[in-house]
Amino acid sequence: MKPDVEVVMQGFMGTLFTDIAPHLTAEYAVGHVSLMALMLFMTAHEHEHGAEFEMTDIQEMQAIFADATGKVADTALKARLAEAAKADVPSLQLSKLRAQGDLYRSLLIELHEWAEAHNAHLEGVILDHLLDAANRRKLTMPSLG
Amino acid sequence: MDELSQRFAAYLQHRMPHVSNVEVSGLSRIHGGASRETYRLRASWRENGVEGGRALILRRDPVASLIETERDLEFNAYRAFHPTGLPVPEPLFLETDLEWLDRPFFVMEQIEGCQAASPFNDDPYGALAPKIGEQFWTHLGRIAAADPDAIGFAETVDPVAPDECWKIALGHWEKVIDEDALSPQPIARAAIRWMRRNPPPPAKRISVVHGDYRTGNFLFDEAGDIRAILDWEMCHLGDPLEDLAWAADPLWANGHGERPAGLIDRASAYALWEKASGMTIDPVAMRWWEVFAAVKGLAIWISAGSEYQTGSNHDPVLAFSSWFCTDFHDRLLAGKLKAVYEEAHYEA
Repeated sequence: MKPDVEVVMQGFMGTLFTDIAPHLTAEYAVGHVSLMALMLFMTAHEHEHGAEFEMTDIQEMQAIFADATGKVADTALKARLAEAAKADVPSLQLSKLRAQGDLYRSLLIELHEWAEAHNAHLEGVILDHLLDAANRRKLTMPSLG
Repeated sequence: MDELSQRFAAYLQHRMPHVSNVEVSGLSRIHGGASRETYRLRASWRENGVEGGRALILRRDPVASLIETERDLEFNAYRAFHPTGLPVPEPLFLETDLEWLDRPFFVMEQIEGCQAASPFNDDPYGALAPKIGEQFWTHLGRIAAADPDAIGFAETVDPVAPDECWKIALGHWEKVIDEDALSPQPIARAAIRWMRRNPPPPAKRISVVHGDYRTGNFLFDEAGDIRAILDWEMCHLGDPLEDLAWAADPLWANGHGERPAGLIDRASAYALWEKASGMTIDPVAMRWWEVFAAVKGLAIWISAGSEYQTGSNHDPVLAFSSWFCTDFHDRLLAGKLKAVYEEAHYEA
């Protein structure tokens, strides 16, 4: 059995904070090590949840695009929305999920701008998605005080 | 560090020809301040047969930084405010000749026996919070009240008209997002569109805007006295509400949303600011500047992420801020956008 990535990274964070940083004399080095330890905590969280965050974003945006195809009059935008709404996820690799998510986020910006001018309900749906997407990434940091 | 100490000692000798035997000791780099390399040191010399010396701070331009800034802006701000009694370090030398330390730098007085609050500490001020809070908001009000012409600040920066403040500020940070974003930013873009559709009223006064007045950018001592307001590299002329909203941004509250900057309650903080500035806070304008503060934050974190991702600066603080702080301000901004949407559509 190998330990979970989260366990390893959080263990490293503890080692850096308690075993390494106290023995450093240069303030600049202590600051760097402490920040890197904190980022191991964040990286552990990202390793566990990053793909889930992206996948959820993609699915929510696809649902918005599917709903919007019946509302948008612009034929070019409508076609792009329809295509994005039904596209498959090509890979579960995080970087590829992010790339696809970014493509959809660009399209969402365009759709959001259209909704602000033409469809208040859709604007609200997009804002709900943006708020949910931001909230699910919330990470409570350990206090170092 | 030895080489840097020797080179800096040679520089001091050049700038102070009336002294001899200049030596630099205890030079160490201070963590943070990703926009500039900051070192503390002790300089000693002999003057008229008497030993002398001073604790100094050296701020050298980095190869790349969190924020692209001009070191002379910061130096000039110290020079303008130091004679006013506002607690800022005494600025000493500004040097742009690369001969001395390879990059431009400036030198100022070191304020000893103080600390800056850590953003990772839940309660960095403890029982000193009320005393520090009173000074923190009052000093910000004093900056707003200062006459930029009278203190010699205005001559070093671009002028701005009251109805142009928001456009210039927003345009500046939108450009940073345009240039540095590594990925699409639907929340920032929506906020920017909202700000353009709902501009704030003109500034009631054109003031010096510190640009980064917040937790972590001032030094306080054990008695709870603020001894130095630092990091003026983003200072400019503008609407003083820009500073107020930035200082009160929840990111700097150490988790205490009801106490902006983690100090005292919001009503008391704003009352102190109003008293010191001689201004009243227009809630409509303030809400606009609060949204602006979050967009500005996003722009800074986006820029930091770009620096780190492209390898032009490997300071971990850039990676951290582009990650944690981006998520924080995305959350904050998305909530604000949803609130103004509901206000517009359901509370009519």
